[in-house]
Amino acid sequence: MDFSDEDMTLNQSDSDFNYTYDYYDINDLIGPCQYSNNHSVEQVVGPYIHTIICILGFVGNSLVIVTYAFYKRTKSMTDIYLLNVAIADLLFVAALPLIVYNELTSWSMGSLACKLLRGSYSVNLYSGMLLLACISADRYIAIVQARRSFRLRSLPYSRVICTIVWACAILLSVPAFIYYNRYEPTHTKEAMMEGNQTSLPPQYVCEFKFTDNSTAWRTKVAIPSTQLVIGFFLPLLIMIFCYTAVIVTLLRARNFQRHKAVRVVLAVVVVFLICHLPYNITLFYDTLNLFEQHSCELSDTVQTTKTVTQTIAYLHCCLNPVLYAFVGVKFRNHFRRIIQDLWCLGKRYIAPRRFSRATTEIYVSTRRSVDGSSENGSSFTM
Amino acid sequence: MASGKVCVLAAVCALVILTTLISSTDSASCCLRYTRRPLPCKRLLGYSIQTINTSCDINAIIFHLQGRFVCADPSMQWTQRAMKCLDEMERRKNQIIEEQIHGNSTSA
Repeated sequence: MDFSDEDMTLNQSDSDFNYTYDYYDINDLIGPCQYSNNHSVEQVVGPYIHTIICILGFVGNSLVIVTYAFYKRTKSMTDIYLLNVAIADLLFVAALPLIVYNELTSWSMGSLACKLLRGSYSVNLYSGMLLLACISADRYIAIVQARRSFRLRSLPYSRVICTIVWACAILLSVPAFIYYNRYEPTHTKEAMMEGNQTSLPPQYVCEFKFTDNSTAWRTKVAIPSTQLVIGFFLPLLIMIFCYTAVIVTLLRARNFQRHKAVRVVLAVVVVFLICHLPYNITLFYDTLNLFEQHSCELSDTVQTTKTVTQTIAYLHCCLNPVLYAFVGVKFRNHFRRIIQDLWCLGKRYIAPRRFSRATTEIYVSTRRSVDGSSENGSSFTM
Repeated sequence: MASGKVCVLAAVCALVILTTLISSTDSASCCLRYTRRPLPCKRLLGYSIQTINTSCDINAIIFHLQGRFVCADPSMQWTQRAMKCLDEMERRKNQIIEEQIHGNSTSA
């Protein structure tokens, strides 16, 4: 290093001052918090569970997308929403390993990757949550407001709603795109200059960085608050309202499948709460106590809780395909057709595809007539 | 086709895990509280400034001591005095080094 000579002289001249630690209690001195608990959790538990989430989420959501893209011709409003949720979840699980990798290798993929990954994480969070609210509203209209459903549940309408949702998600993520930056924390850099620690490579982080105090203050409150309100409470309230009405209507109806439908609705709400409530409570607590002095132990505990609960929240994206798509009878029939087609393709290299299509078409149509499940109920029946 | 994709993904994830286990780095650490007791200037090696413009949420002065960092309240008198004292020391050191370099280059 170029500085080695200079460092030597500096250290020598410093040691000329007589250091006496005797009358200074070392415990009185408070240093920067190292978040040791949170780091060990992040380093050990994080990658393993994230890998499992990635694999499950990738498989589940790509199956949903493949089914819709190649095998489903007649798309309903619900299908459009489910497809969009799957796309949001798939983008999320694609970004997740890259985020984990970069966090562990001091953002080796550069500053653009930092902005794009943090931004896409935010976009997918908002679009995913808002789409789940849309699905609940769609089911509410289909079941509770059945008379109006023909007018309100048209395809162009759903495309417009999805476009609005994605536009909102991107708009809400603009601050994340702007204020996340890859930078080197100052005092770690200077610690290296002093030669206390042997030459470490520069340690980059991808965190918020602002130009002035007031922007920093406002944005640090605004970003988590927006996430809490629009990314959690708004969808939660819509879901609770819509699904309560749906359950009440279903319990009044005389359908032998209603109990299954109620169970599916409850599962959707309970899983949503289990996945997102702990993280959002932690986030709320963290945001309330921002800009105040904390003990390192308490802050470390809060950050560890945040890491763990965030992982639980991530789990939701692998459960969505099961809770929303695979629960539906129609979807499962289409999915079965994929498996059959793949099976045929594997059996005979150049299989007469038209033939296999024709047989499965008949199979599906007979099944549908036996089922007798309507368009509305099909997304619920187990 | 699908199983092929899964295999590729599994391989990528395995790679991520491996790289994780090999390299372990710390992210930014922040001052969360201030030290009450004033520090004499002669024990300090340098300082850096923590602002809320970064990921940290309070403003602080981080003094560098032999082998450790100490967080100080920027609004306290002793903190400002210590910073001034360090600035002065730094200036004098730079002057000496500059003179040495200058002296060497002229003699050579």
